[in-house]
Amino acid sequence: MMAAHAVGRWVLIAAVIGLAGCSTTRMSGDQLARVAKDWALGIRASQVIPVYPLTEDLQPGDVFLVETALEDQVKVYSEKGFLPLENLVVRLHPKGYSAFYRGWPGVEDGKLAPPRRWQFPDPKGDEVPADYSDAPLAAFPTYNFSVSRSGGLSLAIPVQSVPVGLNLLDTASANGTITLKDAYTYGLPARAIDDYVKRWANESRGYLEQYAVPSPEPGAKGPPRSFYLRVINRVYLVKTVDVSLFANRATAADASAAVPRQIDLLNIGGDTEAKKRFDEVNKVLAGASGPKGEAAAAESGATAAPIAAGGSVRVAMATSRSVSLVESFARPLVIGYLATDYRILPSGELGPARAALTAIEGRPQLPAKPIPYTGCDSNCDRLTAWLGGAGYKEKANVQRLTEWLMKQPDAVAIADLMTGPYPDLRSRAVADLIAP
Amino acid sequence: MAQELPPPSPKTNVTRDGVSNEVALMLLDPRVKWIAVVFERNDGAADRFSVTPWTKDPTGN
Repeated sequence: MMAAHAVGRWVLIAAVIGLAGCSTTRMSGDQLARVAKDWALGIRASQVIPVYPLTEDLQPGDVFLVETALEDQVKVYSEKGFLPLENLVVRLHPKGYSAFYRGWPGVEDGKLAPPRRWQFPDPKGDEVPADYSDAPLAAFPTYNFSVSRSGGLSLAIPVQSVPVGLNLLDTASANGTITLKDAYTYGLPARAIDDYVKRWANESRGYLEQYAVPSPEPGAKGPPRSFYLRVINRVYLVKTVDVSLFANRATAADASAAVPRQIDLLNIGGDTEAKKRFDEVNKVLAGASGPKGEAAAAESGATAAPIAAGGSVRVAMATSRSVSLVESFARPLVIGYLATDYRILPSGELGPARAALTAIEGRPQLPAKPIPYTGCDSNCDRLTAWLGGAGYKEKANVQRLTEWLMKQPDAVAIADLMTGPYPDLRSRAVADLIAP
Repeated sequence: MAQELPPPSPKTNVTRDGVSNEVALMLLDPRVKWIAVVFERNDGAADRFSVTPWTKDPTGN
C-alpha cells in the first residue's frame, strides 16, 4: 500500500511538472496575439491602457516616445489591444505627491516618493517584504476569457496560472475568470507633471528636434505623421490574481490507463486525501521556478523544463471539471496606466497636452467654440466665383487658398474664412490671390 | 506658419438658404466626416440653424 502511494506521488509530481512545462514554442503567433488581446481588452474595459507584459518598472513621470501617427496608433491599439511601450526617453521625478495626497499617511516627495516606500518599506535598505497597505486601493471587475491550447499553451496571458490550470484540468479548452485582487493605484495630476515635461522639453530641444516632422507637402496623401511624447500620470498595480478555469472537455490522453487524470487526484469529492495532494501540487508549483524545481523535474524523469514562475502559484480549489488557482507576485505589478500625449511640433516645441486614452480610442474631440454665421459679403462672393461657384469645383484654387491660409498667422478653415467674422482676412485673400 | 489648418468651427445663426453652402464649405476639409444641422430658432422672419462639423464620429462608434 505504501509503495503504491509513493509511486502515485511521483506520478503526480512528474505529471504536474511535465505538463506545466509543456513547450509553448509550437504556439502560433496568431494565438499568442489573440490571448494577449483578450487580456488587454479586459483591462481596457476598465478605462485603463493595458501594460503588456506586466512590469513593476513603470511609474508616473515616465516619458515614452511614440513614433507612429495617431491614426496608426488607433489601428495598433485596436488590433493588438495594447500599445508597446518601447522607447523610454526619460524618467522625470516630479514632486507634488505630498500636496496631492495631503493627509495620506506615508506619502511624501523625494527619495521615498511613491512607490518606493511601499516597495521597500525599510529606508535602511534591509530586505523587508513590500507593504502596500497604505497605498490607495483600486478594484477591478472580474474578467471572463476562453482559452485553448490546441496550438500550445497560452503563454501570452500574463499570469501563469492559466496554463498551469489547463494542465491540471488536462483539458484542451476552457472558460475561465480572472479576478485581480489587492489592486492599488497612485498618480499625480497631469497639471503637476506638465510643468516638469515642459521644462525638460525646453532643455532637450536639440533632442526633440530630431522628431520634429516638417509640415506636409501640399496635396500629400494620408494623415500627417507626428511624433508624440507619452507621459505616464497614473498607474494601476495588482498583487494577487485569482484564476478559475472550467474545462470544456477532456483530452483524449485521459484514456491512458497508467496515469490517472490529474484532476481526479485533486477532487475533494472523490478522495479523502485531497488535502495531502493539494499540498503536494502546491509544493511542486512553488519549486517550479527555482533550482529545486529543476532538480525535482530531473529526479522525476520529466524531459521538459518546469515553467519559469514570476510569482507564486498555488491551487486553491479543484473539482472534476474546474480548478481555482491563486497567483501572488513578489511585489505588485503595473497592469495599466493613464497618460498624457504631447505632440512634438515642427519647431521642436511641445503641443498642448491631450489624454492618451481619448486619442487612441478615437473618441470625438469637442468641436471648437461656435462662431456666428455672417453670410457672404462681396469678398466672399469673389472668392466663391474664383473657387468654382457653389460647388467649389476649382480644386486647384481650393488648394491654393489652403496653402495661402496656412501661411497666415491667423489661419482659419476655408469655411470659417468665407462665412465667419473674418472680413479682413477675406480682404487679404482677395488681394493676394485674385487681384494681385 | 500653421502645419495644417484648424478644422472648421461650428456655425450658429445660419439661414435656411445658407445651410447647403455652409455644408459644402465645411466638406472642403477632408477631415470633416459628419455634419450636424440643428434647428435653433425662428427669429420672426426666418428659421435659423446651427451647423456643426465633426472630424470623429460624435456617437463614439
